[in-house]
Amino acid sequence: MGRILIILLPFLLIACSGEATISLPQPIEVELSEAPKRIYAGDKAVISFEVRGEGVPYLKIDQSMGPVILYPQTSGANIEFQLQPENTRQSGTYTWKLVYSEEILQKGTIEVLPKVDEVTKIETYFGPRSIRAGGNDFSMLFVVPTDIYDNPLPDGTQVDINRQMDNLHDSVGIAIKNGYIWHNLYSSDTTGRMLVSAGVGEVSGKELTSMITPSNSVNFSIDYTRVHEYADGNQVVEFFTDIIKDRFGNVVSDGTLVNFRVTDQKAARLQTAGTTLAGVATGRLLHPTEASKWSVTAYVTGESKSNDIELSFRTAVEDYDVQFSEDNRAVQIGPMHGFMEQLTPDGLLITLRLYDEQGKLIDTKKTNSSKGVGAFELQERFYKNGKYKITITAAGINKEFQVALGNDELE
Amino acid sequence: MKGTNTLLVVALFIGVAFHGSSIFFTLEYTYDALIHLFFADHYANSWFEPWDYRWYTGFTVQGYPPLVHQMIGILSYIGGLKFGLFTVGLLAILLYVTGAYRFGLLMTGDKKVAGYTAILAVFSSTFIETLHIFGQLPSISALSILMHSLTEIYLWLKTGKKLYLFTSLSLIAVTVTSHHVTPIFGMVFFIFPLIGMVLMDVSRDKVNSYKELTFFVFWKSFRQLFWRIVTFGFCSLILIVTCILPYWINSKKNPITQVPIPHGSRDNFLEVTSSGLVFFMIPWGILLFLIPYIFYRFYSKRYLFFGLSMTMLTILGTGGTTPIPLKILGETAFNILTLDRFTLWATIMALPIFGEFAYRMVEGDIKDKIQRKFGSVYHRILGGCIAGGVLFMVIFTMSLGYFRPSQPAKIKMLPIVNFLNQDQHDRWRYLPLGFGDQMAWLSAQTKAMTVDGNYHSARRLPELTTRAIERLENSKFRGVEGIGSLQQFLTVPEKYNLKYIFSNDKFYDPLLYFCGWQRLQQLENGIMVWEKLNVPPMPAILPKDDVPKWSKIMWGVIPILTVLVAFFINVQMLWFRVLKSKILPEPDYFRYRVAYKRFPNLMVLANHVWALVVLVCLGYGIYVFYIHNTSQRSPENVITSYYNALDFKEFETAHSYLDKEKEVPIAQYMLEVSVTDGILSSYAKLDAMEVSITEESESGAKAIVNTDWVTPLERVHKVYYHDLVKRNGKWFILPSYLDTDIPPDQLFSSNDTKFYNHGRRRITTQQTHHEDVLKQPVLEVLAAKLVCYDGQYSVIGELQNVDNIPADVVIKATLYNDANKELANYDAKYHIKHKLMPMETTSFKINFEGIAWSQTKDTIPPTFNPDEFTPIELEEQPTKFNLQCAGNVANTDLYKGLTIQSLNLEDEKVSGELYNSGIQEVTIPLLLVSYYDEDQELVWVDHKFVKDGVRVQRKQPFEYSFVNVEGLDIINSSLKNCFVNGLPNSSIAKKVVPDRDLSHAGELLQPFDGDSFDFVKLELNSYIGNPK
Repeated sequence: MGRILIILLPFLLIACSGEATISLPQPIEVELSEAPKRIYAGDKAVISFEVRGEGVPYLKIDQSMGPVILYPQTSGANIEFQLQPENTRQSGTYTWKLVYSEEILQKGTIEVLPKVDEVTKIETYFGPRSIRAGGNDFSMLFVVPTDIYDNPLPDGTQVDINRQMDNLHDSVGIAIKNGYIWHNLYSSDTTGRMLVSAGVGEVSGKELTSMITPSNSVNFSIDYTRVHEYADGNQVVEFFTDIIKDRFGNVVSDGTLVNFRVTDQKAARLQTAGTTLAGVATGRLLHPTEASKWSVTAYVTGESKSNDIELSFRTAVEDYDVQFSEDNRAVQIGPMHGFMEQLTPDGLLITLRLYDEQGKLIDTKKTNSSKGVGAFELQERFYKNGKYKITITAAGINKEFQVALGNDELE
Repeated sequence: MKGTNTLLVVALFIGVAFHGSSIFFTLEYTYDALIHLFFADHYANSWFEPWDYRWYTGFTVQGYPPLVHQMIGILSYIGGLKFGLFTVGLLAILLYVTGAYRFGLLMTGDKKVAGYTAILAVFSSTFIETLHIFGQLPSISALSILMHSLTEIYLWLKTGKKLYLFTSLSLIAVTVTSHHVTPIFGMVFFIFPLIGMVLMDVSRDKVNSYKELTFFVFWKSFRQLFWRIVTFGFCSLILIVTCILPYWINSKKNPITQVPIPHGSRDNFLEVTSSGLVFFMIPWGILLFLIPYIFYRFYSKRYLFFGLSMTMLTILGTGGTTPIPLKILGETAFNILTLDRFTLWATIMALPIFGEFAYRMVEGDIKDKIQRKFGSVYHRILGGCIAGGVLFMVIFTMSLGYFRPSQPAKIKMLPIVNFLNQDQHDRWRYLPLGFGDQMAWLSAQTKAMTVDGNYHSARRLPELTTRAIERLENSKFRGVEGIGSLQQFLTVPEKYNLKYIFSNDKFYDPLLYFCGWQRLQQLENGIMVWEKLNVPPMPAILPKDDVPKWSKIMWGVIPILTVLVAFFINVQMLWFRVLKSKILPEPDYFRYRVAYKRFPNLMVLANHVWALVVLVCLGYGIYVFYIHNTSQRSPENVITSYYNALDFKEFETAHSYLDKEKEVPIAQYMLEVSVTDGILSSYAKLDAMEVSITEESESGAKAIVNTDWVTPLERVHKVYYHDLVKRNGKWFILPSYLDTDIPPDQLFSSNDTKFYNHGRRRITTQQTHHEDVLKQPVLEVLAAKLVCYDGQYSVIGELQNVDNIPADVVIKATLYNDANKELANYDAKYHIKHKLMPMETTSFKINFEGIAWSQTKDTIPPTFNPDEFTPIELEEQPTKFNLQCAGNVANTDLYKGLTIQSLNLEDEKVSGELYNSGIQEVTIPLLLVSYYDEDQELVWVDHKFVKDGVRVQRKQPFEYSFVNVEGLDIINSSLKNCFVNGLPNSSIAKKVVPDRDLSHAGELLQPFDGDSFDFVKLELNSYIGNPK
């Protein structure tokens, strides 16, 4: 315990010793001899006073970046505070206070102005980057020109805004307010690119872009092409629009989706769609597999639609033969001939339905035609001997047969 | 102490050469090694900070004893993490072989037998499996040190010399800090029997023979040694608690809330034969044939307690085969512990006895007996068989990882690591898919964080703890449940700041696409990077569960300290023992060596009978396996084999089951199969199949095959019909018909607008310059409603991209009650086209999905219902909603070539054909069906995935059955609280398309006379698997 006390003793002594030296300060009087009212950023400022009495006051300068404390250089009764250039880079109002023993003796302000003759940088923001044609939509340009110390220029400084649009060049001058300017640049009626820049005197900002994109599309017309008018289920019919434009005659943006609505003779609405390329959208469908009548309309949903067009398809296969083997267990359909007596292209769907005597559906079999012919096998292991009804559907033509399946000869 | 034990030297030599060289080819492919590597990386980077942000949105490493990880971590300063891993691996091998030797010496008191034990330990299949297949380094290290400590404990109890107390406790401490389960169960299964053995030895000293050793003598010895036992027990208990105190505190504070994750060791091995193989047959290996001998020896008086322990371990190791382990351990412990460790301990415990058997067989009394009884030829054959069996098990176990790799092929991580380091990509979370355990190795190499992780006891997100999935990364192996969990993360990724996915398995691609993700780029290593737009980066400050400073210091200091202490205490003895610099007195246990003579005849018989039984069982198993897999014995078999072959893409095998008479050439068949694309042929896993045979006759049958497929999107049920024929006693499938449709043209052209986004035009380390930030495309919500259908709330509606650039759409709906209290929010999943061309519209539906079973933890269904959708539990009735839509410029997945070629409207359903009019193959078409009432007002949105893909210029039939929307209730229909890119929808509607023609939408609808709906709209969304 004793050892600890010895260790602690010096600390105790030091703690007590502070009390003794504090003495009451002597009052002093000061008189301002020199203080600038207005300087430029980066300039040096000198504030001096005449002091009567013992004691050295200090100068506290408040500015937007925080306070600075200055200590004077004394020569006789004069004291001089020097505000160095690195402390005056920030423009704005500097408030100085001469303080002595927690008492403000004098105070005043210095206005630090931006260094207008050394404008170096123009900060610009421009957006949105794309607007619609028609004069209602705009992009906003926001400009903050600054001096070498990054101080915004004083209000009233003229900023020139240049614009290049529709092969025309115009410019407008706007005075800075609150350290910046903003300006709305409206679109024209034609699509293209709006280039803008801002400048103050000799100094220019960078080039900025806003795209003027087409406005809402207006009604358009459609047409189609096809190889022939037969419903062979194989060829492609192509629907296409004319060049879709907006009300100012601008071609709509590439990629605009156009829906083609195709209503067939059964009021089923088929769909195809295309995206525009240079204003033209193309939609494709296959020819139907049976005689059909289509009516087609195209839409840019909510904005515009096309005329109606009608097209009809004639049946490609007029009729076909169905041959049964002796035991009726092998069925061959075709050869099927097309509109110019050619064998129909491969892939025509043929459906066989097998019903028992009571008319109950037993099985449905499907095949595709190959070289104009389709074939089914009704093996005994799956279908017992007896009477059946068979219907065959192909190319929209139905055929019905009553057959008796006999002993299997296929094995 | 005569010369050096040559057998031990041989064992060490072979062990280090064999295991030490093969770990370089096996350890990285094991289940666990890379996890330990990740933990090691954590310690190497922040030794004293237990919190790691990289997994599970942050977790604490105090959930696993740190010693092995810290050792790897320290060694990584010398030569990197993998150097550390392999060095620790080598140390573990050394410790194991010497540990087995000392254990053998302790048990038998015979250096020769101990030498045999050490050699057999090197070739023990259980060790090979644990090290080379499971990669359980901590478990092996702890067990090896436990074996070393047994000798010390014996000597302390026997002699009462304090030195031995210190040595034994120092080793126990190292064991504790390496692995927590080993010392706890080690106490029960190794140390208790050891105490019993010491008591037996002490009692034996008191009497002249084991026959005179009665319970009374035993009791006297017990009273004599009581305080030694208590001292040791108490001290080791204190060590177990204090050495890893932070671990215990953490387990108390964060009890494992994880739903039991199925583990093969809990299966019924007779039902799940693969588990039986891995967790029973392989660990036991050749020991299986010697079980009678092992128990015969263990139930001799000296080893009696080991016998009991061995019996327990054997039974517990059988997992779910018998109900006993569940009863002994209780539900909780049974579901948390992996039971294979019991088998591991049992087989390790049996090693000395096996060594003894080997000694007696090679140069002892068994040899004499057999040679006398059956002749020396038989002895040689038998010995050859046993040696061959041991070798076979070694090679079989080692090759298991080669033939049935447990991991995907090794992934080069560098491109991924570079990607994460570029462009501040690590400010978002990432998720690897299909990486296997290599995900841990990726995590170890980067600072970026993932929502997934590989140590499931440390999980915190309820989305993960409530599901029995190992990792999100391999969720497909957990069926729909795993996929469901993954879907939650993919649908609302912004909740987890999840922006990047590294996909090593194209199985997940459709899921990513339909959840609104897009492909970003393929890295050099073949990994596809997917990204999601509109996900905010992670906040600068992330939450963590902090622990007190003392806990961090304990955790960082004690484990390494235990090793140092143990080293200094034991090094002297080791020095004397190995270098023979000082003659040590022969330890006590040498006195209890048994003279091996007069091997009982009965045992010879019993073991022969047993071996025969084992052989018969094995043979029967192989026979059953063969019968089940004879593909063409019955119609069912041929169908099963056919579908299995298809599932595993063994097309040649599948083709061999087709009827040869209707010959479809294999080349033709392959072509047909290879051109079919779609969700079932490319992205599905056959989950269940039921074959029913109808109309079976002598020579033919019809089969109806009900198949269930797990796809990344949903469970698919599909019925197939097949005709079967029997020819020459074998069944064949008749090939179904061929689609011979051909497109009209060979060469096709198509013009499309392509879009490209630079990303950043300036190369800068700063944030993207504001000029390079694209304007968000403007969307307009055309309709939005809150509806209640079947007691489940959804927000449905329609929106349009009214901008001139393609948009990626993210929409989020929030539900409120009358008092404007937020009830739930969720994003749109499948029911939307996430990518819209200019002026394209899409219907959408947002379902509010809850975290499965989070509310009803105690009533988790015993079997998982695959179609389980967990609607969110709302405390109150929602009456209002808020819809936030965000558009971002899209430049991929803009294919619009899919059309509706024909349409048949029937009662309650619609069928038709899709036609692909463009030049990309559509892998999975999605049909979005919107229902409208008579005023053409939207009432419901539904979806259907068309099962087959649509090839270029070809057709694909589809069918859709309408749902009954009669009971549907529209609660709120308003555009008031709809916002687009943060702006009110109404202001956009007024400005962008001021003169909207509302009649267009109605004219595009298909009139249909349905139950309480009058119009439908069909929209198509196409997933393209291989964009060209």
